[in-house]
Amino acid sequence: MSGTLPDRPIAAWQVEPAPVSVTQAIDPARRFATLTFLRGALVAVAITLIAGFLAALYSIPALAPAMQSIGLDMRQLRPIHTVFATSWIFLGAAAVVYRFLEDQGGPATSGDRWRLRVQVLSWAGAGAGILGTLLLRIGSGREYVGFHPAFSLLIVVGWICYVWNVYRVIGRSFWQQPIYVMMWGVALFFFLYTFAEQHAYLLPGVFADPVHDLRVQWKATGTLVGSFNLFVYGTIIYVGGLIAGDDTYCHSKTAYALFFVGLLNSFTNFGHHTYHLPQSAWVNWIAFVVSMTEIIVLARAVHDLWCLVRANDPRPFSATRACFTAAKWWTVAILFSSVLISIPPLNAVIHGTYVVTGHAMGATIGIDTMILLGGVFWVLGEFLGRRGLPVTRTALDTRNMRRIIIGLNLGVAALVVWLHVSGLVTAIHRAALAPNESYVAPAWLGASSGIMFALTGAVVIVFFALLLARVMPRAFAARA
Amino acid sequence: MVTPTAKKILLSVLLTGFVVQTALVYSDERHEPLSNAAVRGREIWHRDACQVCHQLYGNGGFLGPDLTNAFGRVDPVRLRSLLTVGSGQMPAFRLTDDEVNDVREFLRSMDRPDLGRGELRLGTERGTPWARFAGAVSALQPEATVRRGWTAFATRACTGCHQPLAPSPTAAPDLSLATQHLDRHALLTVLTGGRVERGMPSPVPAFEPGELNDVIAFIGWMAVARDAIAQRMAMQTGTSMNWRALPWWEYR
Repeated sequence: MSGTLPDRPIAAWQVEPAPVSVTQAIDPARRFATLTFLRGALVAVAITLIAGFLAALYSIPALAPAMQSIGLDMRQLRPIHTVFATSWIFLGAAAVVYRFLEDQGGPATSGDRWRLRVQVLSWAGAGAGILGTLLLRIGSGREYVGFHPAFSLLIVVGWICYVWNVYRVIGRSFWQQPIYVMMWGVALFFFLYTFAEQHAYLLPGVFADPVHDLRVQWKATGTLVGSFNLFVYGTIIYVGGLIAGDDTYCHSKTAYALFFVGLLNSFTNFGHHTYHLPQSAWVNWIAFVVSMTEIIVLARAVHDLWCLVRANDPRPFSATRACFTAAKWWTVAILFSSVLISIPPLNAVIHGTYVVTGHAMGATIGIDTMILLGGVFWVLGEFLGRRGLPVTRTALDTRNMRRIIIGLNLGVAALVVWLHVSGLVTAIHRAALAPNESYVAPAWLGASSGIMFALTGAVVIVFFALLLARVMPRAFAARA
Repeated sequence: MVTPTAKKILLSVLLTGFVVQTALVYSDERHEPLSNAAVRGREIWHRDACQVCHQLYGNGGFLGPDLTNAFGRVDPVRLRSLLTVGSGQMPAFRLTDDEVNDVREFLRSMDRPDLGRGELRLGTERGTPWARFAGAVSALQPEATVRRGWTAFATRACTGCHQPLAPSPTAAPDLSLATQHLDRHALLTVLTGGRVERGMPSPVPAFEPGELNDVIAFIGWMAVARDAIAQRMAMQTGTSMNWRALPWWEYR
């Protein structure tokens, strides 16, 4: 950690922000890339919210027939929601990665520009095509990659250009780069592998053997999440280091130790999703033991949070810092839940219930989205500063923004808590049944589940909409 | 400061771990290939995106039930009506007979409790609401026509959607309140033709004329004896689950 802050823990976002700098003489193509992916990420999150809200309404039994009558059901809403939620994470992270290239990449070459064009066009084409075809109910019927596999080609073409553009800058100095570059560098290749593995079902031999397919699918999905986690955690370390004006942590042994534990989990602990599948005992045991190493990360996160709570921070509100702080709270909660549900008997009781959804939503919104929003606010703040505003604080770091971020987190907390309650009740009632009995939810749960899901979801949507209403016009008005 | 050599070692160790886990997954000897009909059923499963609401081995959405082991407990007629007419939140897929058979074959192939289960079950029969309802009927000893009506009702898979004394999650109404809204003529219409526009198929096999009277008597009895039934059902609650049977690993 910085010599100026010897008594502070690792949390980079806890240190004093450096004065907002207006970057000079940056290649316009790189600025264009940052801004384009930032806008794409915001559009993706808006689509995710709309589809998610409609899906929440559909979960109310009385509303479902009316939605069916206008041609809407879960076959469109759920894949749109999950695909664009994933896109938001990858695009938001891409904006931050391209922001990094602004500083490190120097002038863009002709090849850089071409690859950037191909990346933007292929991803934009894939996004529009996926949205259109899913609305027409044309898709793969798979988890996470619910779109038609033809679009996977476009995504991969864009991704290869992305990898090329990043590695052209970092390739030669890769081993000297800070930890976040290693995270992004690994994630870039890791994604390609896991994305290819997600498509193993296209092989007739895999498709015709569903148990094997599910083993592979769970593995691919678990590790795909691992790849976007690397982008997200790289983002918080990168942005935290920049606003602190200090990257000591980015080269520290602590950072690499936590990276090792985290990536080991991403690589191998997907097995805790598959305890109930017939598979090698080795996969189960490795997954379980590695999952338990998350206790180390949890202990560190609790320590950081304890320091955060004790610190009396006199600084004025910063939207980026607020999001990063919220992510810290969520990290503790989700890691605690993660360790618990990785214990095989507990996993056996809760798998296939809303506990899993609550856990995934807490991780995706509470940790990933909060970190990325922090990154997006920071990147966008630079654009706004450049356009003549004296400091970014006047644009995004307002009292209203503070209320929105607090409201959003409370809304997500209510949603996640409800999903856990609903899932636990289901889990216990279901476990009490005999193998040949159909599960029917208790009457109170059956009557309230959809409504509570939609209500808490609506609160989240309202705060997200308020947030986007402030951020999107500024993002689309900004100039590269 | 971490040296480049240390970083290379670190990444190599991680990569080795990943390769080992990958090899373990791909080299697993337990393969259960599907028949041609089941493969076609699986294609329909993905074409119609069944997994957005249903799960197989925990993979999929949570709006509908896990179908890993559904084959053994879903009546074929009920399955056909679900796949063609739909029910509440489940849209009508209008599958052909061949397609229904293919999906059925696929679900049959998935229902292998000896291999693995989609959901943990530790209990015995008496846990379900309808099992407790059956206990209440036995205890209350209604007249013979009501008992015959209950038997006819229970053998038509009506219990797949309806719940005793409560509306169901799939929006099937509480039948003990049906007589408040429907007269005998309307009940006869529903029991013979269903309410397709509201997701209720016509009962298959159709009720015999004598059975229709019995079922209407049964529905009427539920309305009259509602409190007594609820009391009897409450007396039979209490978990039948044996927590000690909870295994460390579900399957080996």
